[in-house]
Parts: sequence; C-alpha cells; structure tokens
Amino acid sequence: MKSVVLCDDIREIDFKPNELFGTYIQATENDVGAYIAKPGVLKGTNCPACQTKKDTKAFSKFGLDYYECKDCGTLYVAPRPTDEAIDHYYKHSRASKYWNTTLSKGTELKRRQKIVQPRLQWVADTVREYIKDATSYIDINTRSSLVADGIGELDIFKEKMLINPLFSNTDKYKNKLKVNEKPISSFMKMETADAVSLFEVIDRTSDIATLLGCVNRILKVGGLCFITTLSISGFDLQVLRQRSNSILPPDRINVFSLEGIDLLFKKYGFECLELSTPGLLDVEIVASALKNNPSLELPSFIKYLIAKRGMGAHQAFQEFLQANRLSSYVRAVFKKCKK
Amino acid sequence: MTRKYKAGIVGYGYMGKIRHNVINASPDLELAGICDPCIQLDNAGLGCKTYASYPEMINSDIDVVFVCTPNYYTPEIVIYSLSHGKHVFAEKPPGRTLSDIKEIIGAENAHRDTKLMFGFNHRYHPGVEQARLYVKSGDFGRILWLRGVYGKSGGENFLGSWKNDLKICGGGILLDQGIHMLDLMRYFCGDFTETKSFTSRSFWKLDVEDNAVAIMRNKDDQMAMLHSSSTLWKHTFRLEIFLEKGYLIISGLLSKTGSYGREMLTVGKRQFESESFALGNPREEIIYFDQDRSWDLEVAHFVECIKEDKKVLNSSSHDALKVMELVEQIYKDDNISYADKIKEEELKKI
Repeated sequence: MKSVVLCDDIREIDFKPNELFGTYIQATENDVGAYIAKPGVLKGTNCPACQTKKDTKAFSKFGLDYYECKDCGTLYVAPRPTDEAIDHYYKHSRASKYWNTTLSKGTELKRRQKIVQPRLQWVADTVREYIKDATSYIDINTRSSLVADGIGELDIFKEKMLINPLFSNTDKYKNKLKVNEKPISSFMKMETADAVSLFEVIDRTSDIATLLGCVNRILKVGGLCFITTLSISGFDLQVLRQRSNSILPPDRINVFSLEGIDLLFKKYGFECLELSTPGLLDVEIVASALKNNPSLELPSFIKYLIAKRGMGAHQAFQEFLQANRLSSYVRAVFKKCKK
Repeated sequence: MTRKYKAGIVGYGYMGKIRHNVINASPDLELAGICDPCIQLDNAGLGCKTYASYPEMINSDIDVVFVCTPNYYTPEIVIYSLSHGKHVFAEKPPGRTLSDIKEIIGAENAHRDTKLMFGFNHRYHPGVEQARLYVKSGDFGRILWLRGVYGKSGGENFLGSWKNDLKICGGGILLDQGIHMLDLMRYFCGDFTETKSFTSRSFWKLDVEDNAVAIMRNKDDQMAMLHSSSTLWKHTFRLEIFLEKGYLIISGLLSKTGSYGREMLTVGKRQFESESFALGNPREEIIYFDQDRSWDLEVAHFVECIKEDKKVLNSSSHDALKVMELVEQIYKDDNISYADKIKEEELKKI
C-alpha cells in the first residue's frame, strides 16, 4: 500500500467563495428540512463502515443527528434518508440547483484545473501502472459535469460510461461516453469494468452495502476502484467537528474514519493499493474558520499555530498531515480480489 | 489443478528463513527440503525433510533449489544444482569473484533446460518500481546522472561476521551491500564503461573495505556516483535520479527492522526560467510505501519463467556477471585484488 503527498497552490476560496458558499449552506439547511429531515423519510442504521451498533451521539445538523462509531470512529447520520430520497433531493432542491448553476459554474475554471484534471490523471496513471490493456471505465454517481466532461476526453479507455440517475443532457456526451440514467443497483452487467470511480460518492450514499456490492460485481477481478472522500480522521474535521462547513447533510451523511474506509472495502473483497490524504487545505480551513469567528473555541496549540506562525510553518504542518494520513481529504485505490 | 514445484533451501540462516516464508506464500511452490550442515534442524518444526549434505537434497525429487549460503559456497552449489537439472534461485552476490560467476554461466549454458536467477530484490522494491514507471513514461526526459548512497553501521557481531572474512565473502561492504546499488544503477542506465574509485578501511579493522566510493560513466555519457559504507551510523538508502525535466529520489527502504526509514519516492519537476519564484527549489510530491513485496515478486517472476519456459530477463546471470565486472573494476581501480589474495591464501594451504 502506498500514500501520496501532493503539492499545489490552491485556496479554499477558489472553490468555495464565502458569499456563494454561505448562500449554499443556507439553502441546504432549508431544503434538508423540507425534503429529508421529516418523519417517514428517515430509517435507522448501524455504523456504515463496521456495522456495529456501539455509537454515541456527536451532534445535530439541520435537524439530522450525527453519531460517532465507538469502534472505528466513523461519523454518520442516523436515522438517515434512503438513496431514493437523496436522489430526489438532488434532483429538485434549490440548494442542489444553486450548486450546479451558480457555485460550481462560478468556480468552474479552478475546479477543472485543480481538482478534476489531476484526479483523472491519477486514475489514468494508476490504471497504466496496474492493468495491462485496460479498456473500460465506469464512473458512478458523480455530481460534477466537469468530471463527466473530463472522462469523455480520457484516451486510455475505449469504453467509458457514467451510471448516474441524476444526469440529464446525455446528448452532450454522444460519441464520447455512454450514460446510464438508472441507479447502480439496476445495472446488471457483471465483470465489465477495468476501473470504477466513486468521487465523493460514499459520503452521500445511504446504502453503502448495496453500492459496494454493485461495484464488486461490475469490476473485473483485478480491476480498480478509485474513491475520493472526506474523512473524520483528518485535521480540520477533527478540530472543527460540527462547526465544519464541510459536514453538511446530505452531501456528507457518512464521514468515514480512515480505519472505517479500510474495513469497509476489505469486507467487500477489495485490497487497498493506495490510501492517501493529499489534502492541501486543512490548516487554511481552520484558519479561515477562526478568522470568521474569533471567539471559536479551539485548542490553544492550534490557535497559536494559526495566529503566531507564518506560511512556512503552516505549509510544513500541512505536509506533515499529508505524510501521516492526517488530512481530511482522502483518495484511495482498491483492487478487486474476489467476487 | 497445476502442480506445485518442490523447492529445497540450502543454507538456513537469515536469507534461508526469508526464502522459507516466500515459498510458503507462493501458490506455485512447496517446501520439500532444507539443508544446512551448520545448524541442528528440527524436522517436525520446519514441516519438511532436512538434510545435512546438499547433494543428498538436490538428488531427491525437488525441482527448484534456493541457494542461501555464504558467498564461498554459492558457485559450487549453484553449479551442482544446474548440473543435476534443477532450477536455481541464488542469493547475491554470485560468489566471491568475477571468475565465480563466469563458471556459473558456463554451467548454465551447458544445461539450458534449467532457469537461473539471482536475488537482486531491490529491483522489486516499491520505490524502485515506481521510479522505473516514471522513467519509462518519458515525461521526465532522459536520465542525466545517478547518485546512490547505501550503508549501514556495522552493529552487533559485525566484526565476527563471515561477511567480513575475505576467504568466505571475497570483498567488503561493496560486495555485500553496495552491489544492490550498483545493480540498480545498471537497471536504470545500462552498463557503465568507465570507473574511477577509492576504497578504504577507515574504521573497522577488517581485511576488506568498509567504504567504497566510485564514479562511473556509460557510453551515453550518463554518470553514476556510488558511496557504499559500513560506517554510516545512520542506516541509509538513497538513490537520486536526475533527468532532463525533473528528478526522482528513492530514499528509505522497507526492511524488517525499519532502520533505513520509511521508503519513499520524491518527485520534483525542473523549474524553468519563466518560473522565477523559488527557482531551484521546486515543490515536491512524495509517495510513501508501506509494504515490501520484493521477496515475493522476484520469486514470482522466477516461477513464471519456469512455468512458461521463458528466459530470465530480470536479475539474470547476465545481470550478475555485469555487476560483478563493475565490482571487480572498482576494486581494480583502487589497486585491490581480493581475488589474487584469496588465491594466494588457498595456495598457501596446499
């Protein structure tokens, strides 16, 4: 297994400008109340990573309760909406529309350059490293049309497909990739893909067992599953917890610990080839939270680090977080070992 | 179900035990015998037959011989095994001298139905494999030069080790450990045609060198610098590969004790004149590795060559010959001929 430390010049504000993101949070709070956090929509669950019931309530957000697993440390919403309810939310909510038409559009260039292109380059490089003559690639449930555009341009694969009930405008991808607008659970072809990607998908999937069972079924033996996600094991999420603007339902109804991610994929017959936390923004996110709210209660060491030490120390600290898998942004590659 | 190849191990010291684990983990091998005349072997505990003499084991129904003995014994056992139609996996170095490997190759050529591979396992370390991928991709251009440091601090029982007894080992730290770095340098740049070197017995009072420094150049003008040492008080493995458009640095080495540090590959891209900020100090990406599968991978390659009757192309006898030529050249350039000394000693005995 390997892990990677990356470097790049990026700032959180490039992807989440304060004003736009503030509007998104407000819209999300309203829509979660209207679509999700209401009786009849929510169902109980155990820890989505290790399935144990030993948990403790961590906090509530937008009317939903987050629990923390005492065994693996995963943070998750319980009771939670079904995947159908979540899909319905993403199709119809104002927050989702705002994300697609305003927030994402306004930051499109930076997102493409700094997130999407490096991510797809990572997929291509890793597939070249591990699989001879890979031909087919399936992305499952991306929310980003930039990702779909990028996959269309990937020349390493002959066959490319999106499985995504949220995708419309499929004509756009004609001749470049196939789009299957049905849920993953209804995709019945077995062992067809050399690679599958789940970009920030395990964060917002209610029924993880079905998702990973399907991924295992779709992948050829030896095929690769690429994931990106946010982890509660990372610095900014550990420090900010419920005050983190990254923990928003339903975008993050699961905030897996690193141990939870490892357990989860092993359980479904995968071997971990890479588990990295190449995040660049943990320190900046905490610094920005403190700047926006100077009375924020934080451990004094962290306040000192942020207030009294300069960019050099912040950068070195961020590199330390990456090197020791302590940043909250996770990327991982799993190989299918068995059916 | 395909049959498993029966494997025997000659020499049950540090390396013999490692090979035992590798054989147990291999889906294609089963351990059929262990031979070590110097150790009281426990049949029951080892789960296979034990032998006090290697001919007895080699003449049994085994298919593959793992030669894990001190350098002095290696050629004799390898040649015997090949002559009896057995495939051979032998530890490095391939004997004590250049003439040893030449004799081994003679036996190999006389028995072309057998496979022979040497344990240059560093080629299969994850940092090295990943660096090879970068080099092969062509994204960094051609290699300009290499610089390698590999060393240890001696340690407990170092002075009394057979590895420092000229008659048994045939050379010092260069032949024992530096040979891995030389092999990697060849792996990346091919054969070197010119060599300049110094060796010294700077700290340990031994018959063999405790430090060797060499610079080498190949026909494509690529240069390599090597420092092999047993006075590196901080255990060190570091191979720097500088290319036209960037650099790759493999440092640390996954090992049983972890004393060489976390294995990692640092990747940097050359900055260009237009990028004036921090010119000459590019930001780097680092890949950390947690798992050393080198022992398993090299044996898997060996078994694949046997199964598919393919020529051994990695860590082959040719690689062993070429790296021993380099070792001998480095010694020769510093006016050392351990081979002559060994001969003299042996003649005296007669």
